[in-house]
Order: sequence, then structure tokens, then C-alpha cells
Amino acid sequence: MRIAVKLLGACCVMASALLAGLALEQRLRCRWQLMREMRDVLAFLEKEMTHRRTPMEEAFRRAAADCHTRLGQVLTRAAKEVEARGGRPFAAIWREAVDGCLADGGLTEEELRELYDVPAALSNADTVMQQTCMERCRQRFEELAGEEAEIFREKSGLCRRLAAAAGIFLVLLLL
Amino acid sequence: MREDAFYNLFALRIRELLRESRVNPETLQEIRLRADRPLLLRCPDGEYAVRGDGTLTTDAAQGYRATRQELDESLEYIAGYSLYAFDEELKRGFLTVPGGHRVGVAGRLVMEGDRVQCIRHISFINVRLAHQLIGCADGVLPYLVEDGEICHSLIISPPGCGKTTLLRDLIRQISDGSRYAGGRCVGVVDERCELAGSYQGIPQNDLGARTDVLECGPKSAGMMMLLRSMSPQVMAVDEIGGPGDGDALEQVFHCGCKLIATVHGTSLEDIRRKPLLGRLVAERLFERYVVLGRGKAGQILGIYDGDGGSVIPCG
Repeated sequence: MRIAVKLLGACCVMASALLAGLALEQRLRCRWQLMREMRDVLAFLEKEMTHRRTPMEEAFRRAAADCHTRLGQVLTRAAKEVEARGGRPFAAIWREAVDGCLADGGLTEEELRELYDVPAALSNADTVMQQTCMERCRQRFEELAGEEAEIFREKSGLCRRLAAAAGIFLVLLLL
Repeated sequence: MREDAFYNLFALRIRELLRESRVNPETLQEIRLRADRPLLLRCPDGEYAVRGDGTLTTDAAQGYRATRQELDESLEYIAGYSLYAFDEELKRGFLTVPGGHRVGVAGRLVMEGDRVQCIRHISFINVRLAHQLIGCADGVLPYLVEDGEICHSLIISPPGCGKTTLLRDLIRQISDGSRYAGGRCVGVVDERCELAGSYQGIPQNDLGARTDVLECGPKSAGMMMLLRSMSPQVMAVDEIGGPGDGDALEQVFHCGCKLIATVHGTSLEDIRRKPLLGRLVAERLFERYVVLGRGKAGQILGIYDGDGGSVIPCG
């Protein structure tokens, strides 16, 4: 009976450690996906806004419909605020949406800074400049997505292995 | 008109000043913002400048001077953060905001050959508030109907005397139907977006239940398009008389569709002297002429039949 309880406890510890490792890996994957999605969203918005002249709230809603990460929430929240016409600068609306929806996303300072800089490109009144800025912004997120992909490849296996090792170590310690 | 939504079109400081000035937006006609120039309001009883503490003065020199940043911020709100989406409208020098208010802009034009490519450094903004006067055509409509049929009618008026407002209410009443005539399908060619005041394609002014609006295009092409696509029973256009309008107007006259139009002018005699309209008047294609006066906006000087005979003496 005692051995069975010990085995059950060991299984629980191992499972917890592995789940923690997977959660860490998932967090890394989310950051990578978010940067990748931001790049795709910017490409989509560029077409919608500079070519089709779609108003911002409508373009945001369309982009949000295809999002699989929390970026969709950011876009939906910003679209609502833009539509409400509350008389606040767009940069403030966007920053609030980013902070509200991605606060616990584990984004680096650099990534957050790039996200905060997006409004300068999106709401540029000059269509040629808007296109240029969005293109530059998109390239920046492409680079960030590349960096995150590299980090993910490097650290995901490590997270899993470290979690398993930590689990085994804890089990041995407790037994 | 929702006051908050209207004030939110302006930069924070301007918004505060307008609120403090306690001007009633229902009667306010224009708000003029110019970079580094006084903030001016046009009210029914005259023009006022808004001081830095929100009080009004007739001395423009004492008015609060709007900054460049405030103009840019206001533009951002006016365009719903999507100034790029109003590219075509800005080339024409104005855009329409929710509520049907018209925002005129001026600045530096960038030309591409003889075409306006875009407008930069927008330093002058004129917000003209839309005030739809429901029922202002009540006294005119009975004279534009004969045996239950709408007559081809021309509203003649000097600028700023209410011809567009009158036409708008006529469209609404003809479209919805009145005790003089049942509801008719009305096609409106709104070249300058003044009649419908559409925002994102949706008319902000009430033009009736059976009205189709084609906006922002030339009148001549618009009339032909509406005739072909929407088969209107009544066609309404504002400010006819341009060089390309002749053929389209003749098409309208000869296809069983009734025309209600406006033109700049002071009298029927004045219209007879205009090349295109003079010919249409001589051919008696118009069955009614409504002449508005220079005095009070909307004042009717006379309503005449196709021969120039008075249908009703007005004063």
C-alpha cells in the first residue's frame, strides 16, 4: 500500500514537472506565433488599408477574424474603441489594447516596444508613407518572429528535458 | 445630434473650449480651425471667437489660437483614425463625418500633372454642421404636384439661401409620400455629398424610404447610371448647369422620369441667360420654377409654371 502511494506521488511529481516544462515551451511557442501572426496581420492590413482604403475598425475586425493568438483580442478591442470615437489618440487606444490583452504574454521589452510603435504606421495620413511604414514594421516583426523561432528551437527541447530531469530529481529526493 | 460625439471630433483642448463656450450645437453653423489663428464659430446671430477661457467675443484677435498639433489631432478624430481612407474625398477638399456634418480642409496641394494627387499640411479646417430642416418644403410641395404627378422642377437660388435644404426635404417628402402624391422612387445624384451627407455609404440625413443615392461622382454620369440601374421615378440633383449636364438632363426629361434640380441664380430671367438652362427653359421642359430670395434663408420669392406665370404669389 505504502509503495503504491509512493508510486502515485512520484507519478504526480513527474507529471507536474513535465507539465511545467510543456507550459514553458508553450509560452515560447506563443511568443513565436504572436510575432509571426503580427507579421501576417500587418501584411493583411497593408492590403486592406492602403489598397482597399478600408476604415481602420473594419480592417481590424477582418484581421481579428483570422487570428489564432491573443492578437485577435488586441485587434477587436482596438476596433471597438476606434468605433466608439471617444476622442482619444489612436496610439493610446492601441497601447491600452496591447497592455490589456498581452500583459502576461511574456513578451520582451523590445517586442512590446515594436508593438507600441505600430500605430505610427497604421494611422499615417499619407498613403505612400503608410505603406512604407507598414512594410518596415512588417519586416521588423519578420525578424522578431525569426529570432523567436530560433529561441523556440533552442529552448523547447531544453525545457522538456530540464523538466523531466527536475521531476526525476524531485522523485528521487522524495523517495 | 449627440453633443459628446460631435465634440469628440476635436482635439482635447478645442473640445474643452467648445464645451465651456456653451454654444448650442443645434444652432451652430460653422466651426473654423486655422493653424495659429483664432478659433471662430459662426452662429445664426454672427461670428464669434472663443477665448482661452471658453468665453465668446466678437473680437477675433482675442480668440484662442489653435496649434498645428491640435489641427492634426482633430483631423485624426474627424477621420476616425483613418485619414488614408478619405483620400479621394480629401482631394475634393472635404469629408463627411457621422451626423452628416461636412468638414472642409485646405492646405498645400500636391499636383500630378493637372490632377490633385493629395493634400498635405492641412492647416485650415471648416466644420459645417448639418441641420436638416424637416418640413421646410411643406409650403412648396403642393405647387410641384399636378394631378398627383410630380412636375419637372427647378429651384433657383443665390448661394447660401437654402436651396439644398429645400431640395433635401422635397426628396424626403416625395420619397415617403405625402397627401399630394404617393411615395415615389427617388434617385439622388449627390456629387458633393451635401444632400445625403453619407458616412461610409449610409445617408446621415433622412432622404425618405424610397431614395437611392449615388454620390461623389459627376452629375452627368451619375444621372445616366441611376436611370439605367435603379429606374427612379423622380431624379434629384443639386446645382445643375455644368458643361456635361446637357445630355444627361435631356435623357431624364425624355425617359418618363421627373427631374427636381437646383441652380445658382437670382431669378427666372437670370436662368434664361445661362446657355444650357436657357435652352431648357425656352423649350419649356421645366414645369415649375421655385425662386428663393437673398434675405432670410429659405424665403420663397415665387413659384412659376413652365411659361413663367406665377403659380402662387409669395413674399
